[in-house]
Amino acid sequence: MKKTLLALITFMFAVTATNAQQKIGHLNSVDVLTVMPEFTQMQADLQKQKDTYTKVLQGMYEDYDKKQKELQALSQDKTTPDAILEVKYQDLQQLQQRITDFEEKVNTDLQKAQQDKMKPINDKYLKAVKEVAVANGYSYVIDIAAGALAYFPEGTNDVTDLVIKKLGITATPANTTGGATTPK
Amino acid sequence: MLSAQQKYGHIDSQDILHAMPEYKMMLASLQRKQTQQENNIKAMYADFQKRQQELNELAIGMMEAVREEKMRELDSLQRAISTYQEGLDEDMQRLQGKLLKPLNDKYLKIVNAVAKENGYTYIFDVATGNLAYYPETTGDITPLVKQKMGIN
Repeated sequence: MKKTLLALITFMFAVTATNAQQKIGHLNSVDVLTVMPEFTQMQADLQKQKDTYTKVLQGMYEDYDKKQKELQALSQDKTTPDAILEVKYQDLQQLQQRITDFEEKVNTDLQKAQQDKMKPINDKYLKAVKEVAVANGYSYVIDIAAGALAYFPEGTNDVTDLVIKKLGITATPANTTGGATTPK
Repeated sequence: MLSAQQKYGHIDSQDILHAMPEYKMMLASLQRKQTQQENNIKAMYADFQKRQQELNELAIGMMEAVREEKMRELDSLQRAISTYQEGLDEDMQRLQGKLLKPLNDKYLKIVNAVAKENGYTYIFDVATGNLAYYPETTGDITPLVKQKMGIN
């Protein structure tokens, strides 16, 4: 009898030890980000900034086209002095250089703006993930958005919704993580 | 029952790679290769320019056929330079892949050994950015792997 009890205790101890088993959860970061109002706002802001730049660039392109046509007409006219052709050609080249420089500047500006705006959003997201992970006893939470997992359970251990709730968002996410969702 | 228990850990592969002496040697090799490539290009251009100048100076007194032949030579030289330039990036990538292979093999072998010694079933690489959360104080085998590699 004593032996059985001891065995039982040992068994119970073993079971308790098993409780220390590490738990892995997963989520889809894209599903979380796209329902964050800050993210939507960031995208709108970036688009607005991009549109402003595009407008200026478009004006430059039109100016270039006009000047190019002008030069073509002048060069076909045999009475145009070489000095004029030359100065017009230089004009055109300078404009092209200015366009290229500006395009480069626009790209770096937009990239930097995106990085700057994304930082606090990402920090907020990671903080919520951490809180959910700790509260639910997950040792690791894997982001499936980039295809890191070839297989993951469809019904369990998906913390996407919990993280969204933690962020105080009530809108339903465009659920792409769960296999149980009806296809659109 | 207990043997089915799984233990997970993580590692920062970038941290380790950058701390490996072999990595610094690899970077130096790549740098040497790049300098060599740049020198080759410079030499090819210098040769091209020299021939072009020669042709310009001598062209007036040259027979048409000779001049055309020289022009063709210049053209093919220019094409050779372009082809060489286009292959440079690929060359560099191939070399990098070749040099990185033994480093990666060594890294994986040691990770494997450390994982087995410490009873880990899976080791996640945090450098991939695929972990939304991982424990800050436990399960990091980065120092163990470094130690086994003899680096700190």
